[in-house]
Amino acid sequence: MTSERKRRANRNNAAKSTGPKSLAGKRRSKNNALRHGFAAASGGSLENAEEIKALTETLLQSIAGASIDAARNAASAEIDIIRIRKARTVAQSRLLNFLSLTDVEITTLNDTIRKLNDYERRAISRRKKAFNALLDGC
Amino acid sequence: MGRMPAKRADNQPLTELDWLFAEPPLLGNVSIDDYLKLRDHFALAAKPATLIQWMLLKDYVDLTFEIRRERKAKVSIIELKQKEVVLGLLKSTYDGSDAAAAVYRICSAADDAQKWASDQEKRAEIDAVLMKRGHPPSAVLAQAFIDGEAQIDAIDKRIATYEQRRMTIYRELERISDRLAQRIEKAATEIIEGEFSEAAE
Repeated sequence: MTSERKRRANRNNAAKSTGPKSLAGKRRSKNNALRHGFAAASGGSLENAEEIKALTETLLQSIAGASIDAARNAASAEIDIIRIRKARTVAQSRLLNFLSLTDVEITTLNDTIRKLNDYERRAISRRKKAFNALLDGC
Repeated sequence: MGRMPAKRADNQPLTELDWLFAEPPLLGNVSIDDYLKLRDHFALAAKPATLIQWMLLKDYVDLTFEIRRERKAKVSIIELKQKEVVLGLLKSTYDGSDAAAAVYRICSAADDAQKWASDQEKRAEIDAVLMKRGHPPSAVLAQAFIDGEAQIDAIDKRIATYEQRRMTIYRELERISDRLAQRIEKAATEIIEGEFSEAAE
């Protein structure tokens, strides 16, 4: 059980902590804990914003009357699927060199692929909903 | 639907989607031509016409490739584990004198195991020798499965996942196509009915 004195000291120390002050710094630090962004609900990674935007526009141009949100969600999910598969291929290529790997490394890589498969399942499900919304909206 | 996207040959993706197939998720030793050949094969059969259908077809191709890749990996693991089993048996069951056995273990067992894996004739010879010692090929294979159980199990689970996912994509493709077909039918009905009501007026 933490004592009241210790709690107060922690609070005081935390108040003295210096976090980022500028808007740009705050924006950067917001992604400090971001590893790959696959677990985010959608569009987790900012670095793919351009690709998402381009695919969203392509979808909107080819499906008349489609909702912008649905197109963006579909594009974001599609880009996530592509990124997840690339990440999985990297893990698999390492796993194929299993002769040079320890049992622990093999287990870790198998776990990584399993997690990526879960992310892929979620992204496919998000895209399915977005496709439905796209087709319902026009 | 809105404007028809730019179209090429029946089994070639829409120009808007060139980037989608530009960097498929392939291992370093796999040629992109193999991937595109498979894509064209499926595209010829499915005749995707819309962006959504092409995106789903890409999934189907990617997952088919994943399944092939995992199956190849599984075969490699089994072959390697079999080789290890053969090597172990060659060393442990050698029936010469102690000195000859030691020399064999150090100098020849690994070579023989390698030949077992790569040379069919040598393999038959070694299989016959091991059989005489009470270790038929089926026992070697069984032991290889036991030794590689964890890895083989992980691969089998992944293959099952990809096959299930591929089936989901197939159903999705079918459902989307049905919906598109229904909408085209509805649009056609509206036009025809519109023409008739105009004529009646």
